Order: sequence, then C-alpha cells, then structure tokens
Amino acid sequence: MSRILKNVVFAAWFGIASPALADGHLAAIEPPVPTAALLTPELPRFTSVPVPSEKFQNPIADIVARQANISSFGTACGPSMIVNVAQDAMLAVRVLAPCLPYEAVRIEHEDLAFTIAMPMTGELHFLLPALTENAVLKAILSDGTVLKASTSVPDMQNFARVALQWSGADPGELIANAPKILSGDMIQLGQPTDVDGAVLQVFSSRISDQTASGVIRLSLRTPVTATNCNTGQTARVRRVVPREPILTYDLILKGPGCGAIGQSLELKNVLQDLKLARN
Amino acid sequence: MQLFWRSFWAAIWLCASPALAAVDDVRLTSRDGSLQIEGTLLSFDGEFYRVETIYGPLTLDGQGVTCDGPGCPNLNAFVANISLSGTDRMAEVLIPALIQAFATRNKYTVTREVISDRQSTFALSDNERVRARFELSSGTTAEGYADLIAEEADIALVLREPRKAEVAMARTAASGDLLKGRRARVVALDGVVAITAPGQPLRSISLEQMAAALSGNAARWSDIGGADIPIIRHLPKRESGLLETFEDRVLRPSKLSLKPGAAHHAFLEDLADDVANDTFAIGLTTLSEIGNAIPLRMAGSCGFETTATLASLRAEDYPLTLPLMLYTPARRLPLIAREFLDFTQDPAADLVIRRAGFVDQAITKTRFDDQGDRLAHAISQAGPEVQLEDLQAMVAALRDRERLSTTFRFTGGTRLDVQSQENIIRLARALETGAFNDQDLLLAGFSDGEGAAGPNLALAQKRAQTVLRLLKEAAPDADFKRVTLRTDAFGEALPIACDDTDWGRAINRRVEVWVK
Repeated sequence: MSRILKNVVFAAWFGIASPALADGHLAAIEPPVPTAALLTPELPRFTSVPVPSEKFQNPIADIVARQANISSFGTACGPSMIVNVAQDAMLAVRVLAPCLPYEAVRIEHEDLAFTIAMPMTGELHFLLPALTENAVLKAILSDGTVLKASTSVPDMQNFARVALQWSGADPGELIANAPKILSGDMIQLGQPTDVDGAVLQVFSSRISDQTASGVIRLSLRTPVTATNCNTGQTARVRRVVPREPILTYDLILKGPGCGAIGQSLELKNVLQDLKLARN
Repeated sequence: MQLFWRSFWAAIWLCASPALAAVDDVRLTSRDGSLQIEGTLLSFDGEFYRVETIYGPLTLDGQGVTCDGPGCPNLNAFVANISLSGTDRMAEVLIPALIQAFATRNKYTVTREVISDRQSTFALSDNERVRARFELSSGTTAEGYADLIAEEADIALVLREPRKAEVAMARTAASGDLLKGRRARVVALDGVVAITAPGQPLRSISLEQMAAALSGNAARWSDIGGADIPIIRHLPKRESGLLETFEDRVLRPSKLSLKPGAAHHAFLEDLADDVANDTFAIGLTTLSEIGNAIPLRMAGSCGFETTATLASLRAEDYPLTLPLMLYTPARRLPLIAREFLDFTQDPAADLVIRRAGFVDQAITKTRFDDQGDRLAHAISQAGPEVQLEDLQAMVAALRDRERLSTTFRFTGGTRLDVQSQENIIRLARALETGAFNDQDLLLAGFSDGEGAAGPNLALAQKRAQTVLRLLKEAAPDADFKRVTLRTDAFGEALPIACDDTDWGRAINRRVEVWVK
C-alpha cells in the first residue's frame, strides 16, 4: 500500500516539477504508471427512517413564505417596467423581474411583439424603435403578469419605419437595400425560442435630414423548414411613414412546399419599397 | 328573361331523363315548388347561381330558388373568390395597394398568403370570418387575356386593348365578345421612360434617339450626343407588355428592331438598380419603377421638351403614356368584386394610386399663368399660317380660365383613345355630381400644324364638338341648365410638341377643357 502511495507522490512531484526542471527541454522521465487499481471504498449503508412530515413542513413553509418576494440576489421580486425616450425616437426599456431569471418575456408594441429571455439578474434593458408618437408598451411575464408603460415620442414624425414581426421558431429576414447616399438602420429584437416565440425587425430611416431623394428596396427572405413548409411562415408588417396612412397586415409565406426544405424563399415585391424625398 | 323561362320549362322536361340526372350536381327549385332546373353548378357569387345546362350557362337569382344536390354551396359560409391575372406592372404594387385600401375602407383585415413573387392571395375578413379571397397572378397582359378567356381569371390586368387574335379566341371559347360593352377601366397611368444613372451628363434626348439607343442601333453615347463610350442597354424581359408597347409605339414607327446584346430583366427593380449603378447604362422602364435612376427628358427638334410627370401624364402631353386597365368579362362578378371595381374608380383611390407611385386620373386645374412656356412657343412658332390676331383671340378666350388636367386625344380622325374614353366618363360623372355647376366649360379644339390652317381649324372644331356630344351622352343626369358647355377651336395655334414627328403631331391633335 505504502509503495503504491509513494509512486503516486513521486508521479505528482515529477508532474509538477518537470516543466520547471526541463526549462525548454522535454521531460526525460516518464512518471510510473500505477500497477494496481485503488480499491473501491465500502460505503456505509443508510436506512431511511420515516419521520412525521408536518414536523418539518411548517418551518420550511415559513422560510418559503419569508423568501417568496426576494430573488436569489436578495432584491424584492415585484416586477416593473420603465420606458424612457432615447434619441432617434427610440424607447429605452427596462424590465425588472428579479424572480423570473431565464424566463421568457413577451414585449408588445402597436400590434407587434417579440419574445426574449430574461437575463440571470432579472433585469432586461433594450432599445426599441417607437412605432407611434404616443407609444404604449406591454410586457407579459412568464407568470402571467402584464406590465404596461407609455410615453410620448414627438421625434417619431421625423422617421419612416417598416417593422416586421416573425412568429414561430424559424424567423426569416427583412432586407433593406439602400444606396449609399440614403441612411437607415436595421434593428433586430428578440430571440426565436419556440412556436410561441417572435422576433421583430425594424428598418428605420430619419427622413428629416435626408440629403438626397431615392428608393430603399425592401425584401424578405425566409427559410423553408420542416415546420413551416406546409402551413407557411407567418409574419406581420407595420409600415409607419409620415404623410402616409399607417398600414398593418399579416403575411403567410407559403413558398414552394415541402419539396423545397433547406432552400429559402426570396420575395422582392411583397413589401412596398420606401421612397424618401430630400429635405 | 323570356329565354330564362323557356329554359326553365325545358329543364323540367329533361328532369325525367335519368341519364342527365347522374351528371347534374344541383337542382334549383322555385320557392313555390312549381319550377325546377338541373345542371352543373359553374359558380355561386353569394347572390346568383350560374348553372351549366344543356341550353348553355344560365344565371338564377339565389333569392328565388332553393338548391338541392351535392354541388350546392353553403349559403352561410360563402366566400367570394376573385381571381386577378395579368401584367406585373399592375400586380406587383398597384393592385396590392388598392386591395389593402379597399379592405381598410370596408373595415376588413387583410392576410396576404404568398406563394411566390408571382402568386399571392389576399384574404379579407371581418370580425366573424373570411368574406373574400382575391387571388393575384403576376405575369403579362397576354396571360391576363388568356386567363380571362379560359375563365380562369375574373379580372384581367392589362396594358392594352385585346388584339384581334384574342377577340377571336374569346368568341370561339364562348366567353363572350371581348370588345362588346365597356369592359376596360383605366385605373391609373404610368409613363414609359428611358433612365440613366444620376451621374450620366446627357439629360435629354429625342424619341428617335431613345429608340436608337435602346434598340442597339446607336452603339455609343456619342451617337446620341454624349461621350464616346459604348452604351450598356438594360431592357425588360422579352415577353413583357412594356417591351411590346415600346416596340409597337416607338420602334416600329421608326422602322427599327431590337438588336441582341441587351441585358433583359425579369424584375424592373433589378433593371433600375443596375442602371443607377452604371454611368454608361441606359434602361427602359416605367415612371413608377425608376428606383434610384433618373428619367431622360424627351426633346423635340423644334425646342419643346416634355418630361414624364404627374401633370404631363394626366394630360397625356407626354408621348409614351401607359394606361393601366382592368378588363372584366361579360358574366356577372360577385358583389365584393363589383364593389372593388367601383372603388378603383372612386376619388378615394386616387391618393392610394399616387402613393403607390402611379399617376391617378383626378381632375385638377392649372392656371393660365402657368402656361407661359406654351405661349412662348406659340409665339415663336407663329408664322404666315398663325397670325398675331389668332394668338390674340386665343389668349382673350383663355386668359381668365383654368385648364383642367382632363385632355382628349384621338387615335386618328375623331376616334378617342382609351385614356380619353375614360376621361369622358370621369368628366361626365363630375358634371352629374354638380362639380362644375355655375361654371363655364370651354372645350377647346386644337390640331397639328400639318396641312393648311383652314381645314385644320375645321377639324379642331369637329373634334371639340365630338367631345361635347360624347360628354352629354355620358352624363344624362347632369343639370345642363346650371353648367355652360361650349366649344371653340384654335387650330394649330398652341402646339405642345413639334410637328415634325408622328408622336409630336398626335400630341398636338387634342381637345383641352378650360373652365371659369
């Protein structure tokens, strides 16, 4: 027994010391291999003794009751949502749900929605492009709590925005092709989780300081997958362009059917291009 | 109606025949049970049954009969199916925009099912259920007519009147005479334009130079007044109505044909994008699809220049105006389809059409003061034929008036072109609704400058009188006591294009409407 132990100690010593000793050379000594396997220790046998449950349950219930409104970070559970106006007619949103870490939350704004997982801290921050001047935002938490907040975004009148909500697990892509002289941003929100999930893509362009007139091409690309080849990929479009009526409609992108799984459906003419005029 | 009853009695006789009963899938019985007719159900539009009988198709009012048999529709779950097929120039942007606006106006929600860029279905639902499905196929004008004749489409989307072969085909297919009655409605206007990149210094060419450059007969920009660099050509796909129109209206009169070597595009968006990115490219497209390229102005040798704009297309002062039309069959369409057709002619649709990038046919006014360019030209063109007194008389007649965008043009002689026929209906409707009550409308006839001034003046007067007669016929409900309608003619006094080309003369032969 002691010899085996000594070998192990030696092996450990060489193992640690050899790189230092080698000093650029390869270790010349190979550690000896143990010649016998270590015995499995015999574990003591436990037998469970039935204990009356109410004796323990009451104190546990007490503890649970005491901790029910405190997160693992020690903060209060009470969920809340704060919405502020950020620059470029964006909404700076903060959702607090400390007791629902990693749980999905659904954010709704102007008939559109996206889903996202709460971070470990239970505190979610994001920037959402406003889709109306009097913006109302709803957050639906996994426990069914609905949080509501609203704010006014006067700068919205200077923006043209086209938002696309993809429902389901296989979201497609909103593509904007703008000539260099025109500016615009694509904002992506949400994570595709499952069939109830949704992601939101918003193309936003400030029209008040365009220095040129032109057309921004908007097109769609959606993958044909086993889940959507029969029923189609659903999406919702909202188009908010100053001096145009606000337009909302649903799309079902059916594509060529299940024979085309793995391909993608590209649609150039489904979304009307955005025509911007110089100011 | 007489035929209808006769068919009814005949059908009762035939009910006894067991062989026929096996084929028929519906039996329509009158409410009192005294009449019965059997046949194969062709369609049910929510109101009327259309049944194929041994006497041919019969249409029966659903209110008056009950239906038995496997082919009977569920009356409470009726969904109107309307299929539209034809040119991509309308199916891509214009018709979807009109369907959306029609739905919004009637408080329907819209779900668009997309199979591909060429095939979509718009489902219109109210709070309860789907009420109508508009199936939209995007292709060519010829396909639109073919689908209409084969009864696979209810409404054809077309850029031209049917050709002789199509009319003949419709007759043999028993789908009715395509030319009988008023089947074409001009929904919107577009212009055929040549485009270049914003960086191309040449901004104005003549129609002949445009024909030469786009057909490939002029190979270098220097051939049409630019730099000595080859012309890169971008054209629409070969079978498209736009290219057909260009060949019919521009190349054939110039006795030119398309030379190979051009890039043909299935989508005009791609065409416009390619041209916009290449300084030495020229492209053929429509005003609604210029993208980030710039349309070339069209110059005449006598100094006139026309540009495709809202105003010039509405007044047809631009030579290559493209009317976008809905062509309907002789048979009855479902109620919601008729409502949609009415909506496309409603002033509420005008804004939708403009926003979608097309030209609507709203009647607008321009002041005499804004016609300065035309007057300057009239003065510079004046000569022995047009005397100073003629110009003074014209100015005196028009000075305190405004010109309506509505202008009438003639295919030759005194026959109106399709856009002008639409203009008659639009102006007649405006007269009937009293839009011009207590006003004075002057129909001013003009002619081209070819030939002697005397006969030209007479011809101009005859054209103005033709328009007046057609207007009165088309507006039986107008109160002509409250509106003054007069004609006058000024011959060749106020040209708006050069008289040395066919298209220039065609533009000059017109009747304008001036109001005070």
